[in-house]
Amino acid sequence: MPREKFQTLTEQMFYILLCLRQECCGIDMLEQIPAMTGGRVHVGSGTLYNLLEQFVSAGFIRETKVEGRRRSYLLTERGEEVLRQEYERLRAQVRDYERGLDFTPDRAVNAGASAGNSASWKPCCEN
Amino acid sequence: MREHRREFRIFSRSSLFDSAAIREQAERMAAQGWLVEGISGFSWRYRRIEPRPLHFSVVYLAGYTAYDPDNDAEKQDFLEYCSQDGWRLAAWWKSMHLFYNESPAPVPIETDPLTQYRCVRNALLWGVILPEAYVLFASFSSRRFRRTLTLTPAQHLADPSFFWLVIWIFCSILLLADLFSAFAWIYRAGKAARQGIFLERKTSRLGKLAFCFCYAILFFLVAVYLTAALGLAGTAVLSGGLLLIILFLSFWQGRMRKAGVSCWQNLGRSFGLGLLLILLLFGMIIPAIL
Repeated sequence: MPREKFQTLTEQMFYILLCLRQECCGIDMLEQIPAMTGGRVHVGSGTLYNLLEQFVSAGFIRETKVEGRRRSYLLTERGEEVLRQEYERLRAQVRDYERGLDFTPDRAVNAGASAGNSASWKPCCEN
Repeated sequence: MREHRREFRIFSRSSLFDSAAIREQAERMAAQGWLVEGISGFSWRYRRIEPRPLHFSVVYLAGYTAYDPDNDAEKQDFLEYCSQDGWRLAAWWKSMHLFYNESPAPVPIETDPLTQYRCVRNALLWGVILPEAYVLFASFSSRRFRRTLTLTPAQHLADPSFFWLVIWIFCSILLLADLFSAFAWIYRAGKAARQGIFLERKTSRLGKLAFCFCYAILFFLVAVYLTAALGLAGTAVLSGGLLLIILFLSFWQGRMRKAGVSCWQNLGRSFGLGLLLILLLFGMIIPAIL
């Protein structure tokens, strides 16, 4: 089944929404996002333009000011909710990763036996 | 030393989406000292520059046609964003926009594969799939087609319009091949985009040869039919006349785009002028020669 649009956010989408928690001009985000991420993430100008339009259509952001060609945007409540859900998803991934580092096969077998569950989860790789 | 040059290249609906070929051609010419400054359905126009390596990027803006003005407000906003990273618009034709950047390592215009895929998919849908599907649907649902289904092979061969049926079948095969190619890219590129990779649309050399061969056969069939119906002189006048009308309308549309005339006005005037010229050709010139 195809994934719903914006069900999970790409890195570019995430940082654009994060920037717009405060009112910001679209063009200024081209410098703000690399500054925020220490140069790790760059959003292309075309990608930024298209995503801003899509976010406005989806109701995640709203236009607050227009000065010539400079348009400013701000996150809406719906956008805050989407950003918060993505943040929770990323946190859950981090927790799974940290659990995976602590994981040993014996613990899984014991945990499975004590729960009366014959199936045991194994990591995909072991040191 | 001349400052401008023109190269004739035919842009079919599908080759407009062969972004790899467009980008490579522009980069190759820039390295030779020619920067593309205009693209139409028949030619690329270049101006002389210092030979140097330039980065080119092809971007598709869905909804733009050959009739939209150069100074469209939404497009100007988009160009403003691109110029912040040093990208300048070299040329555009319909939804295809070709940008260049002089920086040695510019930030690409598109950095999110999923967003880029959706833009190209929408442009492909409006520019290729819907028009061609409509033409196929209109022709298959026509009374003439329904009549052909009721004829026996012997009746087909005896029908004077059998030759047009052959041409129509050939055209339908070309359109179906085009549609299949478009849907195949949408499927493959959609899967790749969801995995974080943008699949550039590329026509293989074999594919290009096959299309050229098919169009050559189509041209031959039409030429044979017209020569049989109108004679050599009539065919030459008809072909030459239609070619001149197409070139003139292309020039006329370009002038109106530069003048900022709205899309609908440009379309209306081009259609009216085209109709007038065709009536002139078929109503006066060809009968006079025949």
